[in-house]
Amino acid sequence: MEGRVLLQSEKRFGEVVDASTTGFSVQCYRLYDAPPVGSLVLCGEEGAVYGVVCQIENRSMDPARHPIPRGADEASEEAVYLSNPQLERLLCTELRCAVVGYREDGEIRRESSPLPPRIHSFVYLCDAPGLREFSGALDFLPTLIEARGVGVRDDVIAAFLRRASLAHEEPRQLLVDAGRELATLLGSDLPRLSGLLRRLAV
Amino acid sequence: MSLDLARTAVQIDGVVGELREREGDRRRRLERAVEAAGSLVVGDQEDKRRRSEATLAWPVPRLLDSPAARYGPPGLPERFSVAATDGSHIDVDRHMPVRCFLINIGTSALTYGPGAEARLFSRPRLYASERDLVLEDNAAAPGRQNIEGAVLGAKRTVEEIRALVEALKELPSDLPVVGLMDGSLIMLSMAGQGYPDFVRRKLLEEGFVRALDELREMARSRTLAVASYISLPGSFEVVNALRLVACPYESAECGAQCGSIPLGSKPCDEAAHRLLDRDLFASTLQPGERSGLFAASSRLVASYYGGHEVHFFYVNSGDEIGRVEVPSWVAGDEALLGLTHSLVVDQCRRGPGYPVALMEAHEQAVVTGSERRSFTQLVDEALDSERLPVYTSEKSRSKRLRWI
Repeated sequence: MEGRVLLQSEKRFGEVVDASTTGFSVQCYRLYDAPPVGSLVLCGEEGAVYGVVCQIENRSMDPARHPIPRGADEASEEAVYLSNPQLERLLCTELRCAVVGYREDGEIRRESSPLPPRIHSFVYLCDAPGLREFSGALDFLPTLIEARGVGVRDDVIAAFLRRASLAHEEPRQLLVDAGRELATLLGSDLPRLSGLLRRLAV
Repeated sequence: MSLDLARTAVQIDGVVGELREREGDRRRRLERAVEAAGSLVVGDQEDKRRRSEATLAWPVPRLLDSPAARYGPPGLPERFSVAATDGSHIDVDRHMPVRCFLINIGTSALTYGPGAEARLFSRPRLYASERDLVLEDNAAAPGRQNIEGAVLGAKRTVEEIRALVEALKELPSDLPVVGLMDGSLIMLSMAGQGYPDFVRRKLLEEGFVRALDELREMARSRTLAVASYISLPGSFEVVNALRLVACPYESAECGAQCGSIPLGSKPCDEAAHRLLDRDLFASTLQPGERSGLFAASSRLVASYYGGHEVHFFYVNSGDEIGRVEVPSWVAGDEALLGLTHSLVVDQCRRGPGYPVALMEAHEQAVVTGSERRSFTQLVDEALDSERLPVYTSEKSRSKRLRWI
């Protein structure tokens, strides 16, 4: 796989810690520094694999050590972290992404990746140009609606489409086009289709 | 199941019953001990201790203060750091195909106040060369001591203090800092006659004490204290000092005067029998307060610590009575002593209950059961990849496989 040159504005926020051809987990460099659910991310130094953030977890690094309340005598939540600087090292933010595409020979293929990202691949948040490029065609939708197994719920699909639409000059048009595509794909599952369209508020 | 819990439970019930019977008696002795602490005159006590030194049956610390003295913690600096180290090890295992041991030192360096930050890390080191595995001294006979068991424990303590020196060097030099170790500053495993003198010289004079020298040198140019913290201390040295108050004789000659009286019925037992220092200070210290200072009475310290006496005080952390040991150059400097006191109390508050820096250093250092197994496997694989013979004892194999 050969990716594209990353833009300077695309912020690197973490590394892949677990990966398959359909999904990968990212641990953020800084606690609570995760892009929201529905964001598009790129991983690999050359931006080889695309993922949509479908779940975010803030937790203890060590599953055997549980956080305890520490703020009874503190004036603010920020003060809890200032008084306990070790917390930043002991807690982590991890997110799960569904693979929605990859780049090959300079082209975007909007489907599961033939190879999973490597562990420790750098992960970047796609900004508006990257998001516009990826959502320039809607052939990622079959992959997304079939990705329930890797944690893609319908609200994740809706969140991704709403975010993608804002990167386009005519946001509503992308949502309308996506709605039409979904109607074709989910024609035999009307309750799911109507739920998704309601979330898109087309 | 190999432990018969039903039989064990019956025995536990018996022990609990016995403890209940003793409790009333203990309370009475404790009241007497608190009275004795209040009535003790330090100068008189020290005179009597010196007069009795050669004939005392108990180690009695030198009192630098009254056992009834109490001090509140000074205020915290706006910014400060606390560094701590702790270690764990995988001992030499004769069932393993290679003779080796591993020491894993965990370090935490925490800075509080504006710009608060934390560094937590561990450094493992494998010792496997012939030179690494023994202490040698050509001048001594026998001049060779394998490093394993208690000697390895002592070597680990040396590595812990060396790591503490390095951690303190890396902290900003303009901030007041306390370096904390777990347990005692007195390497008790090296006391007694169990080991040749050169072992103590290598581990203490050339190891632990050299690091203490370096810390003292660093403290000349910055605000730096070093201390060790003992949670739930089981010592009774201050209580032993109260024995001298309860002793009816001008100078105590324990063997001659009371040698024939059974333990528990001697006159001095009234203020001391089965009491620990922490029982006494739990009755007198308010949360945050520390006791007065005492100088540990230890031949090991006198012989090998090169002028670093070990002084100690007790502190009410809010959750327990802890014992804090400091070198005499910290104890003798009011500002460093106050800094140690307030930072230890603050660390226990943040813990909560136990100094957070020590807890995190421990978490970094700990080697779990599965990591121990992985270590053995790594050694096996490394040998195997070089086509070196991998063998293990049948005993070790039978423990792993647990066949029926």
